[in-house]
Amino acid sequence: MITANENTSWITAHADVALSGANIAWLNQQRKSALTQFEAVGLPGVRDEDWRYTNLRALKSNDYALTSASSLNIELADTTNPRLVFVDGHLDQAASTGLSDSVTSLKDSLEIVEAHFSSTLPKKPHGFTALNTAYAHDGYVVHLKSGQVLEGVLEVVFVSQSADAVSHTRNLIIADANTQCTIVERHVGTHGTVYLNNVITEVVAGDNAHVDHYKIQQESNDAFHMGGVFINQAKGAHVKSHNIALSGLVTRNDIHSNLLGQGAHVEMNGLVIGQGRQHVDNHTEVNHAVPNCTSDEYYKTVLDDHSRSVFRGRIIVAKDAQLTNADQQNNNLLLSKDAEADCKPQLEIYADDVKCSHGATVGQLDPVSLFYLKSRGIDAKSANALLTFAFANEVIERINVDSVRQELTQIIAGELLSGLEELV
Amino acid sequence: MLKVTNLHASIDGKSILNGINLEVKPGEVHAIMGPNGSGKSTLTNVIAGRDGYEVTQGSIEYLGNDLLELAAEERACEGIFLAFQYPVEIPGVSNMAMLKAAMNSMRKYHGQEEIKAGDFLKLIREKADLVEMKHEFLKRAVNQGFSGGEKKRNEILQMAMLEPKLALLDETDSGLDIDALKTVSHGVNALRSPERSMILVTHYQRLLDYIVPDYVHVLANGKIVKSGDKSLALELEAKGYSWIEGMEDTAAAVQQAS
Amino acid sequence: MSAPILNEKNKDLKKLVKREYKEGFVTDIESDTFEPGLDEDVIRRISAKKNEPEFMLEYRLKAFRSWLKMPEPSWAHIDYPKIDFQSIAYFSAPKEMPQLDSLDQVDPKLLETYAKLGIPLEEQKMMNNVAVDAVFDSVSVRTTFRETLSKAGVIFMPISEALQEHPELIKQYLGSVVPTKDNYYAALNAAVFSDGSFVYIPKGVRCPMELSTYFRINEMNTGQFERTLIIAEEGAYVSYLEGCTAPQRDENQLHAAVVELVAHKDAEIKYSTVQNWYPGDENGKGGIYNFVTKRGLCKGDNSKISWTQVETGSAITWKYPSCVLQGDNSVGEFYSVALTHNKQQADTGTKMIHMGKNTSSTIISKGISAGHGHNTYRGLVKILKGADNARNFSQCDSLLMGDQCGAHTFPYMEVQNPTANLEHEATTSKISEDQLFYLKQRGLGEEAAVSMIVNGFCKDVFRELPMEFAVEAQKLLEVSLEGAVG
Repeated sequence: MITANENTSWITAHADVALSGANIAWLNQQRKSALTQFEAVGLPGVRDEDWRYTNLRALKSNDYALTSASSLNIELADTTNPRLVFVDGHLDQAASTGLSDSVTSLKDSLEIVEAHFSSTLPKKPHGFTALNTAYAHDGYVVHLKSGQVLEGVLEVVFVSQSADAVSHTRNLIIADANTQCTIVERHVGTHGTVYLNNVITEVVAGDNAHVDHYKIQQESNDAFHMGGVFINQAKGAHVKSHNIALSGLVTRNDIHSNLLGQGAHVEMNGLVIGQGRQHVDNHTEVNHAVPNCTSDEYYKTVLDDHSRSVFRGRIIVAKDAQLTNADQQNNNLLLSKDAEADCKPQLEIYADDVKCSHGATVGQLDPVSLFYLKSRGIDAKSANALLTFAFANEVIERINVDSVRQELTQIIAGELLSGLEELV
Repeated sequence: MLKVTNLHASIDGKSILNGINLEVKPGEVHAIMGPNGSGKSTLTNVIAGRDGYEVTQGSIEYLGNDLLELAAEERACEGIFLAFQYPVEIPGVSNMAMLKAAMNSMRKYHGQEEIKAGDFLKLIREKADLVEMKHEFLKRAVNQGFSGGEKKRNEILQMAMLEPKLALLDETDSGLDIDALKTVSHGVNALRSPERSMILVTHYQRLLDYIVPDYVHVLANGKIVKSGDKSLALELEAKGYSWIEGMEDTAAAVQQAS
Repeated sequence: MSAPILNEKNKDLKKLVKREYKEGFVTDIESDTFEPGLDEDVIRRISAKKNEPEFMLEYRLKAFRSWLKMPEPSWAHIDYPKIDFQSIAYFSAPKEMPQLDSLDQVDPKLLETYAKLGIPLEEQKMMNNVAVDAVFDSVSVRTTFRETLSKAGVIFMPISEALQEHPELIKQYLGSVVPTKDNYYAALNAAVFSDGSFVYIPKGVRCPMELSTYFRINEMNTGQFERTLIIAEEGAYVSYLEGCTAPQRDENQLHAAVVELVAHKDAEIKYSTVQNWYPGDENGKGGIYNFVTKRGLCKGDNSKISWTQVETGSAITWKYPSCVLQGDNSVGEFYSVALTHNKQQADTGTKMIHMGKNTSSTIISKGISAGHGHNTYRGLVKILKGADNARNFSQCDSLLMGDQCGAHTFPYMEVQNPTANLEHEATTSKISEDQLFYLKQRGLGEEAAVSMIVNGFCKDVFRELPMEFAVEAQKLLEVSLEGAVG
């Protein structure tokens, strides 16, 4: 519920700005009901079980404005991949190279997405998700027709450059039967800038579709990132979600997959590198709705300084979802006395012929390994850095796309090995 | 002792055994060889009474009675022992507790009194020595954390304890190094007697160097395509399983003609 | 072969055995029972009946006033109709119950009841070295072995008597671990509890025998609210056992107990429960609603509190025996087997709050769900900032029998200290067809095979129980599971 001392004027101030000009009945209907949903739940608070470890006071005390389209004023690294660039939530056509028949902006694809828009969302969305549906103004849409393979890697960069901006973006990956794609989504900002990035990606994976989705989050150290990746998987669909959070003040990610067709498989990998006052809250949910599906979840967290991580991993096995095989691992490494890790793995099982397990650990680097490295002549600082890197790298090693894996290895090495990169 | 007549069996509607005929007399040791997927393990599982196999035709007579009428545990109590190809782990249940419960269940079946704790201990230690199993293994949970060789040894220990009339040894040699193979074979040979019959299922001739069978049968596509004595195994090894492919056709032709 | 083990063929087994709740009889005994209903007057009457000191009445009224303002908790994974707290009687005592100096003065019907339950109150027939306190509906009827114990300086008596004889101890410790406002049911208990056991082990004393309390609900529409308080002074040790049964009735009955443990420096308390309240019938009719708050405070350095529970009864179980590890090097343990069959629901687990340095905790939870039962493990391991070198190991396993039941695991880990080491594992599985066939091939019947596998599954918990209790627990599990396969 919205309480009196919260600054909420920004929430409704721009109702008429969202998707301006799009006078489309089905969308208006969705927006209307999303607003009704929002009015019922408001912005989340620590009293909500799903937000008990994430305090949004700082987010709520600030004011945000929706900006109009502007052009990119920071320089992006070169890439050989096709790339879309969004600035403060608006597509920057001039900076984008990846547009095609299959890759478009949400504004230009409302007809294509009608059947899928919000179809993957949870039944009881929290306030940010409801706001996203109500105010989504742009995003990318990848639509692959049956049998189509999107060659190479599509990169999508969301740049936040205006102070106190809010953007509600909605992306859709609609992969029909037997399609294949790899999409790398990056969220970047300039340190020191305060903004709110509320972004949802929906993945609709048809029969035997293969979707690899990467979300690499390098927001400003003062930014708020409220993210969702919601996935529906049909028969035999294989989806991999990689969720890498490197910066941002408060980050929340809801990564959900609904396994709706037999033989579907989802892999969820996550890595949090927490520094400064960073707070990262990852909520994953795998819903085994039908028999014979598998899920494999692997989340790791490295926490330094005053950083804090929350992990909630939920596995639900429905009554008839026999022969489910679900595994979840969450490992946390605490490097500082002021860091905090909270984790809540959950199994809800309503079928009997299943194999489900979860494991969670919170701890330090293995002293035996440290000693081993030192006994080989490596100094303590390097040994620590090396083992920390190795801990994090176990998530990166699960990435199959070479270019992405190499890039992330470099980024992680840069974060964790500062100055010691030659070690790897 | 055992008479298998024209046995047909299937799993999930898929036919695996296609007319097995086999007769085993007291004291005889029969080896059943054949390539992967020929139905060797299915045959032992059907004899032991595992769920999930449907006997579609034929019969199995054991000690003059219809074996197929009996539940798995009744067959065990009647003296049929299956040494598993993949012995099962049962966490929290010690080897000793399981064996004691098994022995007493069989004794009860035969209207005998329960075994005295002291007698049981003495017996199990004696049998453990026979298969060269360390006594500490007896207190560990059934097969949990055992190596492949230890598991197989444990199967033979159980066989020694339960003293079956008919022992089915399903790929008992698989996964064993030469020393373990010798130990296990030694245990099996010690249990040979004029009253006890055995069926050895194996892929390789090697086991038969240590446990010498009276008869060797070659199984292919769910049928026995050739029977003979020990020399058949050697011949099979020399010529390879492709040798029998021709025989199947012949067998099929013979059957169709008849 | 992946066909479910509970196939057509095995359905016959269901008919083979129907579980009977053997403790379901009613004792026809004259009782002094209050009219149903709860207000301040009822609380004053309870306090007057017990001839309590003034501070106790104040304590109760304070708790009652907080309770009135508290919402009923709804976060647990359980589903039941709303409880009408005004339809419950809050006090019931067998009549003819003046001070008991010898067994001759106990109503023979009561003795008979306990004999039927297999709990001997007659000293000559006593279990080996176990002192027993028996609580019938709301009052304690008999505590055995008091003299032997008092020679060792151990106080073991109904808490109502302790209020008369040792009011200073009660005043000091009651509510010190579970405050009156702790939660809804704890507040209710603080307001209306009528009896329970009190144990005090003086400094350096190792209690010479196991202490045991048997709780029995007999009267209809009566709630049972007992309060147990155990204090172990420096270097003391006590092992305490608790058993519970109730008659078979179509109505649900409420049981809301509070247990507080305090372990001082170097002291150890081992608390074991075999809970077999009436679980209701196979259609979920009747049964006890068991809402219990149990918490131990490891107050001194090197202290240890260990909870072991075997929960097979009750229609609803809501229970989280916890440890607050305040002293340095203190140790908390929680071992639990919870079984839900038919329409039973259990939401149980523990909280381990690490405050002192070098504290460690172990959690072993085994949940078994059969029939339409739902079994939830809910636990919290919290490492506070100052708790350097804290260690926790948690293992939560669930075994599912049948496709209509559910098993759920909700652990919480909150770590605020980088020197902590926590490990949590959870698995869910069913009895595999391979395991069943293996045992059958060795000559065991289906029920024996299932029982052997289930007992193996629970072994890590059973071995924490005192011997007599372990055997009882194992049998109870067998009886409770009868008919579950099929």
